[in-house]
Amino acid sequence: MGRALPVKAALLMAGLLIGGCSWRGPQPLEAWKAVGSSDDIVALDEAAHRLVAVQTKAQDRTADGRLRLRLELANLSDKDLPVQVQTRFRDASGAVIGDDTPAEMVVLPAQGSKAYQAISLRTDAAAYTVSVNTVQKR
Amino acid sequence: MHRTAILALLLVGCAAKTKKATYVDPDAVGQVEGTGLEARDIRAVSSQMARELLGSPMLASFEGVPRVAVTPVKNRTRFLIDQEIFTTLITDTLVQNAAGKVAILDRSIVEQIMAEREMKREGTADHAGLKALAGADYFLSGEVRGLSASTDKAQSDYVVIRFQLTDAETGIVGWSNSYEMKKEGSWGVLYQ
Repeated sequence: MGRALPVKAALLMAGLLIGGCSWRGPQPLEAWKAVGSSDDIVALDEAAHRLVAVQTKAQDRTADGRLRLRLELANLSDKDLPVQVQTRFRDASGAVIGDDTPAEMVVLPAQGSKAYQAISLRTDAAAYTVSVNTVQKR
Repeated sequence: MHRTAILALLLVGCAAKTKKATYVDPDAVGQVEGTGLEARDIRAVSSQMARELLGSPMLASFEGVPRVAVTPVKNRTRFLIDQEIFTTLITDTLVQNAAGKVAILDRSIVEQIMAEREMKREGTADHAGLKALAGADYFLSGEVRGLSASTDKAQSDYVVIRFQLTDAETGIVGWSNSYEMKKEGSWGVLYQ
């Protein structure tokens, strides 16, 4: 009986540790303080969440009225990091409008950053969700 | 009898190990990949080109609806690629999303169109009104170029996919855009 409690406690601790480390995505990417919230840019896996940050974010309209998004994604690791970036455009109510870009491969240089741009096809695009995932073979 | 049973068991065992083909996301990194163009590259290029082309000043400043003839992409790489994939995807994107902004001309069936026109004019076929054949205001052309390097164990490929919009009257290039990619890997993948 005296031993049962420490064993249970150890098991509980192990469970908490494992549970705490497990990935519960998608989660917003870390934004650098100057950028503010980046809830519309999410990491789809734990590595992307840990290693990729949004350095700058800007959006405007093209001359023909389509939404254009410009991001600077930073690699916080000391190795080149290939990631896939995809943008899903939404209307003002947040509904999807069938305007998704294909997942584009972007190789983020070690401790560096790279620009990513996505332009909507439709003028009713008013919002977006950008998803970032590290490249993993099936 | 005993031998037949063993043979049957072996056959069943082999059949069970055969992996069935499965549907995969065309943007995903697959198990069979080399240093050449993959499905996701083609999709990314086509989407990016169509999206940026629509915003080109040449088309935006055109009075009326500009007519664009899409010409076949030239492949100058060592890879065997169906070049029509690019033009098919770009045309689809433009037709579905740029109605009223751009008109796409189909030059691939011009012989059939001419034959149909002739039949209508001869009275062999009826018609709901004769029209002039639409002329192109612009040509959208593209090419794929590559630079390869290899050792006996590894391969490196740098590929540039470029598209441009040329004024069909003046020959002036009003828009162009390139997509670059570089891959390194081991030998062993055959593109076909």
